Amino acid sequence: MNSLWVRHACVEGKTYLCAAAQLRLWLKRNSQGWLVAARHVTESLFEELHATDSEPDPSEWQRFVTPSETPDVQLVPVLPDRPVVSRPEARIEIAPRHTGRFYVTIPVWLRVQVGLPAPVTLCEFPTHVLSKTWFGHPAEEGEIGYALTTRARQEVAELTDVEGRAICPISLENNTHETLAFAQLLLSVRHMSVYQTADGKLWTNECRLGYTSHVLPASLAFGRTAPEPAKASRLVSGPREAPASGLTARVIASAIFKSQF
Amino acid sequence: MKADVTKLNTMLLDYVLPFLGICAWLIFGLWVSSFLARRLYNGLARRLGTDKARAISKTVKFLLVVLFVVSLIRGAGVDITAVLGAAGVAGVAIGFASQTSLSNLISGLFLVVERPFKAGDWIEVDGSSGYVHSVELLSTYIRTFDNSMVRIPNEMLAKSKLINYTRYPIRRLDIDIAVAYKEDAALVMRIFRDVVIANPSCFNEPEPLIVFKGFGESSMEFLLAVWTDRTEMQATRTSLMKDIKARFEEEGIDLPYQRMRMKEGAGV
Repeated sequence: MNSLWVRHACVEGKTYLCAAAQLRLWLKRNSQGWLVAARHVTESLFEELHATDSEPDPSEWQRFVTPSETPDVQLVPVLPDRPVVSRPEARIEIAPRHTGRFYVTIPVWLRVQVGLPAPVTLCEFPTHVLSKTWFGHPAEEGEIGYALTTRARQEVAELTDVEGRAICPISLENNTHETLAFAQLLLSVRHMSVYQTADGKLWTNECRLGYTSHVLPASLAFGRTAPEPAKASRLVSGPREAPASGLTARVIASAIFKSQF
Repeated sequence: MKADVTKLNTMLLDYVLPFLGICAWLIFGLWVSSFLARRLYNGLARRLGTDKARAISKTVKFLLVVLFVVSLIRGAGVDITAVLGAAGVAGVAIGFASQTSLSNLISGLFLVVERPFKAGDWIEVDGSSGYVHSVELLSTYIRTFDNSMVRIPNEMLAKSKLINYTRYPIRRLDIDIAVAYKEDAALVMRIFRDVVIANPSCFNEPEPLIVFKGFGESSMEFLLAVWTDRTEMQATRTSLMKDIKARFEEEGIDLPYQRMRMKEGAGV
């Protein structure tokens, strides 16, 4: 898994293949740039980029004309392009005036970068095929996101099968005098970064949500650095959109808890 | 000869030059009105949207043209009061004749204020369906899916039932499916559920709806209703239908066909 996200030097004219969960990605360097082909399959597999004789269908290639001085390509894990709507497998209740800490794993996307050290992004592909979902009432304001069922694990030691996923530590503060039933929440992943620890695990910034009332939206804050369990990690990709002060209000408004309807 | 030249000079001074002056003033007026209206539209389009900006700029242009014409009449030495008096009489006649236009104009203003749709929306009015190309003062232009332009008077839009298919970002896709009577209804419904879950374009919330609607003439009738991104409606329908057909073939489930029983013999 570690070797999937490292830099690879590609020989011109040779085809390379890698597998990242449900994604199969082919790469080929030519004199004027790169050819990229991607396909999603049902079987999940992880294989680093390697030379291959198996070629995709010619119609599957996408061509990218780029400066071709450097033969290097880097596959970078990034977070999805839409928010993620995370729903726990089992009902979770948080006692009044109490904080629950959970780890939600988010399937990453794979970004293809060439032209290092000044990288040019060619394209991005999801490593898992996620269903879309709607967060909100159909006739009112809401947001389209990717549906995710989470085990909402509470111990770092339980995070073993997380290949191809970024671990997002979430703190849910129940600031009310009533028990909070955590049905689902919207994670605005476009404001989060991805970090990698020495053991190859991917992490995001910590996400702190403060629930004060069922009427008001929850407050939302992102950690500015790697989370506590991944202190010795390195940043591998920044947020798609920096959480600016003007944007915070919208993020807060979207970070609502809701019961099923 | 001299008399002819004098006559020509007089004609030039009395008629041709004033006429040229009027033409120049009219052209200048039209140019200034168009220029100001265009600047106004560019300034407002970003803040108010193209529909409102177009309506306001066209109204301003119309008023400016009227002002130029009035100043032209006064400049020509004609008594404006008399003209207005005559215009009042003519106005009644014109008013009767242009009732429809006025109605369209007022309806257009209401449409701009109420905004039941905007340029780019997919709407259906009175049997015409397509994307809104532009909302003008008197009419709205729709580009149909077969790339024809349909002009709908604003009055009709204000009075008719209007469906805006792109008002909300998500829509429910309803698919009616009939299955032969000999099949297991529970298995059929389970296949529908599996197919929907496996399709990434089908939202899992709002939850999909699978309904056993009833017993048809020659088949069991089901409704499969799934929520999807409004931009992916047709693609989702196609992929669902393909997946259902493939699963039915896999499971050996028959789609129904019209059956007719014929009897022959005496008394038939």
